[in-house]
Amino acid sequence: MRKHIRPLLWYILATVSIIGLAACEKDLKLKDPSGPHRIVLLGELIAGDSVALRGGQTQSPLSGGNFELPRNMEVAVSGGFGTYAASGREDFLSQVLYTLAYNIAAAPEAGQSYTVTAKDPDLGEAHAHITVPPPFTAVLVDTQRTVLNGEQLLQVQIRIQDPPATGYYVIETLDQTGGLVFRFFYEGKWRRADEESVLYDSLKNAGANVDERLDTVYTNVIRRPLLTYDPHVLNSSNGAQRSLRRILLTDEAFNGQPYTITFYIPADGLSAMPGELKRLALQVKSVAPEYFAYLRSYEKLDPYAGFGYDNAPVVQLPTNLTNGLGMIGGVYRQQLLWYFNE
Amino acid sequence: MGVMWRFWLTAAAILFMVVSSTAQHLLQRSYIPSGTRSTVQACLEELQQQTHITLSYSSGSLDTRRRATLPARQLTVQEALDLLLKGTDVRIVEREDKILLVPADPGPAPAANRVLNGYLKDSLSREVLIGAVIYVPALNLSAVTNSYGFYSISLPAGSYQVVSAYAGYRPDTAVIAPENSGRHDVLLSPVALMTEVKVNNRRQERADHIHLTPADINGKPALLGETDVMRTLQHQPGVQGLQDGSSAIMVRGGDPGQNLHLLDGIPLYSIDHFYGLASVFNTDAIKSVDFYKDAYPARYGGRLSSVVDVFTKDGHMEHLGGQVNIGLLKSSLSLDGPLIKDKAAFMVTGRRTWADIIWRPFDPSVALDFYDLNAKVNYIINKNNRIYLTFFNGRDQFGVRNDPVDARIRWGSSMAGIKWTSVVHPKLFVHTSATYSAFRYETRSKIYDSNNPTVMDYYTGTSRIQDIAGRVQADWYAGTRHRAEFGIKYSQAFFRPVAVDYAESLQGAFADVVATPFQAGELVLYAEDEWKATDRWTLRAGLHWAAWQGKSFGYNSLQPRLYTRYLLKEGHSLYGAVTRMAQFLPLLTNNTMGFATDFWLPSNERIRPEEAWLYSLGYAGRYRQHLTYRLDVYYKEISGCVTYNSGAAVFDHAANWEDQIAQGRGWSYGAEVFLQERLQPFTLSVAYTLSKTMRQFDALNGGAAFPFRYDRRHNLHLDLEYQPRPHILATAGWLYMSGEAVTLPDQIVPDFDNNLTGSFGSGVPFTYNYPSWNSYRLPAIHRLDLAISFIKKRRRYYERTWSIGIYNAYGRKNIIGIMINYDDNNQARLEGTTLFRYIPTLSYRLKF
Repeated sequence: MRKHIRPLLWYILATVSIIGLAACEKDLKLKDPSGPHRIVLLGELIAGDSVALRGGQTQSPLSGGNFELPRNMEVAVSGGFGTYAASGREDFLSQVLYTLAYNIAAAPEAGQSYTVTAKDPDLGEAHAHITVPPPFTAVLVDTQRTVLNGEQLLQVQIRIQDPPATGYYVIETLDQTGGLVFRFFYEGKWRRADEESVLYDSLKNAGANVDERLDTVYTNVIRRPLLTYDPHVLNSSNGAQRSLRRILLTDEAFNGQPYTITFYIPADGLSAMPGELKRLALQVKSVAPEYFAYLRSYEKLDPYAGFGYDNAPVVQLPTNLTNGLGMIGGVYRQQLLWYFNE
Repeated sequence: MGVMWRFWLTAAAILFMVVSSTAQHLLQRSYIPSGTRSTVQACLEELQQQTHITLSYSSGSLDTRRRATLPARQLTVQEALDLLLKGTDVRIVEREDKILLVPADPGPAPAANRVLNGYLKDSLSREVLIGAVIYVPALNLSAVTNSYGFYSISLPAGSYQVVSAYAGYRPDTAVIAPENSGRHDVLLSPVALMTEVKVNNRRQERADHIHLTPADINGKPALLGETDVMRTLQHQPGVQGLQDGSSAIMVRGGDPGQNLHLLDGIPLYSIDHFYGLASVFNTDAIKSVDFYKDAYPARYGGRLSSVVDVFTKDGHMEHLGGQVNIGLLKSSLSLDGPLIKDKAAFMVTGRRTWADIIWRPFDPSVALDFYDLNAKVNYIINKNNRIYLTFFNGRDQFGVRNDPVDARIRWGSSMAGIKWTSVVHPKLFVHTSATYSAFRYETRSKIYDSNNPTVMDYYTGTSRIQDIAGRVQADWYAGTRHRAEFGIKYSQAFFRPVAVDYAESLQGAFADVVATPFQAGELVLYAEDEWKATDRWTLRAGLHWAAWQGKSFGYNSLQPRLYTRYLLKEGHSLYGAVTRMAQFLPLLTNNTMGFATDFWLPSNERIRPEEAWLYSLGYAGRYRQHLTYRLDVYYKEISGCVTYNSGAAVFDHAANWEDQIAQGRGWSYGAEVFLQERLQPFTLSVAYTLSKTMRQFDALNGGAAFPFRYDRRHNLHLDLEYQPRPHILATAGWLYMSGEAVTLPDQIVPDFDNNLTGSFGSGVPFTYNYPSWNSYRLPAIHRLDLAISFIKKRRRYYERTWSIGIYNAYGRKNIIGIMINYDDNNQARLEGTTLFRYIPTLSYRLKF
């Protein structure tokens, strides 16, 4: 009997010892997944439009979203129009978008290639090669109000004349609110008085004769969701009434031929308050392939995914920056504007 | 290719070393004969006494009355036998732990002119015994009972001793006289509690699969004291759990949906309760379990990675009895007994969780519960025919009410079947079945208006599968060296992969979405022959052909199955298998973070079947009588693996659910070691797996290969049993698994759309940058589980067991999920979610 009890006592002793050891437990450290900070460039090179890019830098996912602005970063765009450089300018959006504005007065041309280079003393150098697609045409075929599943919608038909050389289209609708901007002319450029108020005040105080004008500028762009049942749209929901931020279409089914696409825009709020300037910008863009691939991934992105228990796997956003992140898309844009009545 | 060559060369080298190092022959043992002249019989008996070697021979082939003299000096057993058998037509064969003296020229197989056949049964309950062995030592012939306890063995003329054996039962020996042939049913008596473990442990595992009995399952420490067949399987090399605490298994780089789970031969689509806290297989209802991870017989198909074939009890033919199990998580009640004594019996078991009752006072917003019910009736029509009726139903529910939203998920399986077994001829056993199986997954959301007592449905998403099947299989015991199995199966499956029904009040904003329901038929033909080519070499070759046909698609797959085993010497064998499997109904799994969900997606015109080739090689050996070991290496290649496409969720895009699927390939290779050392009263088991598992999808991770989410380099189970007295069993189990491979962002990036439009409206102002899939390793999982059982047996049927213990005894924080939390200083840090630490286990079982 005793010889059987002794091993059992050892067993109990071992058990108690282990439980005792557990009392000295430590927190299980998880290693920080963060990599090095990198340059971020975001925006589009639109044929015939001045260059407006945003530049920033990445942050650790454990930073709690506390971004730092790359105040010493310079961006240069070179191509057929030469090389233009710009320093980052902090504007009223910088603190919420975590980027600086980089504006260049030169306009890219359709079918041309450009190199964008960003240099920062801490983050290094990043560059991207962008090709602006050749021209195409998109015409408005028809618009009409309709009701679908009880919802008031504006049905829009657009015909795209697809040149053989292009193949990636993006359709977006943006609500834009207009405002008057006071500008002054100095050293060959029209400048915004609100952004360069120090210069404007010094010129006025010095009694200089400054040309001035008021421009209407549309800002506060808000995307209007789109709905389509078009079978060739890559991100359509094939019958499900799901809102899209943008329509993504390839010419796989109509290469070189005209193609008419029908889509719907929610018709609520298509009017302006007294004294308010509002318009709806319908943009049909032919975009570079790498930009299209980026938008395809971006459309799948759940902005809240990352550390949760979502069933859907994560989305990797591609980039066309070497040594950096983000996307600068090459775009040839056709734009239709509806101005709202009071 | 280079990796493959290195893998196989290393495997071959390891096996060669093991084979070389374990060479030890019975025939080389030495002894000193007495030197007196006597009969051959007396000389052989003297040899057995002195060397403790069992000799087996038949007086029909050896004249044992002949007189012989052995020199009185040291001889090896080989030398002594050579002298005794000089001039005879008898040769010496070393087999397992004995020496056989068999006719020298086997020539044509012995003229088998009679067939011994019948059932092996438990002497008390009359339950048939699956996988029991019937053995004729003199002829070195053996047969194993099939899934219905039937055996058939052909014998030549003569009188033979026949031994019947099964783990946990006293072996039965009978002499079959020359005039006896035909039916020979055997009743085996269970051994008393005192020697049960000893007999269990002396069982020889068959190299092609693992055979488990309830004693094996109940002996393992388990979470909350809830023993479970799936948790027991996790203690086998090559098998790993999903996450800490989960009962789901992953076998050799496959995902949980690639395991074929059969309950009385009927496939179950969902086997998890509580996201894997327990399986639907109620231990109280189980008679035995066969587990295959490579050498799949041709009759199995439809899954890539393993077969878990669970057989439930038939019911006691003599006595009404039962079992009550009370645990911390759930309780169960089982009853079985005769409907007509020795003719018909029933078995019914039911389980229900306590969790909702225990949880409710602490957090009424969470609802979680499950139940399952097994029932079986069988009727012996006559000595050759029997019918079985089987039924199973299991349901789970998990819900969270977080005002104003009440979200619930329900899922469950049902199945029913009727089977008829018939001994058509002493050499031919036929079983025919018709079965129904169904799986349903439902996610439902309601919105409560706090100012209005009415409840508004929001939406209901469902995924459903039903199938009906018919199967006929014949087991043909062709002769002394051949056993063939062939069959045909046809099933018709009805799918509604995804449907989302929105409430009427929301119809303006949302439209219902129903993926088109469709049907698919599967025709399966299979045949295999197990050929005992020589006394040492067994070869099993089979073919499984399956065709999957729908209205607008069709696939077929020819799957060779090859298994061979070579007996090197006593207790040592080398075995290998090459198999191909196909799966027409893959389970959609998430390769990165997140809970696994049960979406069964049938192959159709857009989703091709999953297919796998598996190559394995193994060595099983023994050192003396107390140490047994197995060493296996394998390489598996999978094509057509399914997973979610980036950012996809099936219920969000229900109508075009196929678009949410990415298909790619996977591969896994590894080495497995199993050791069991028995030094009474201790038994130590070690199961270790070294493996690597990868996946590659063109549509994911830029097309680059990445580690599978459950690619665990090391997986180790150490189990120590201590049984100082027959009624006390203490166990300690230590688990170590490498951490999961997960995908985490390394940076956050200012959001594109907000910057493009110059507005801030999409909610989150940044996006995550994921450098590579599954490149972040969670910390390793390890824990110690301790348990002790006190068993009390009274009279013939009464037995009660108290089990207490602790799960994760040293409180390791094993991580099952990750999130970012902020400390008091608003400093963010990565934190893991841990569920099971210092969990006490307590259960009470009463058998009556």
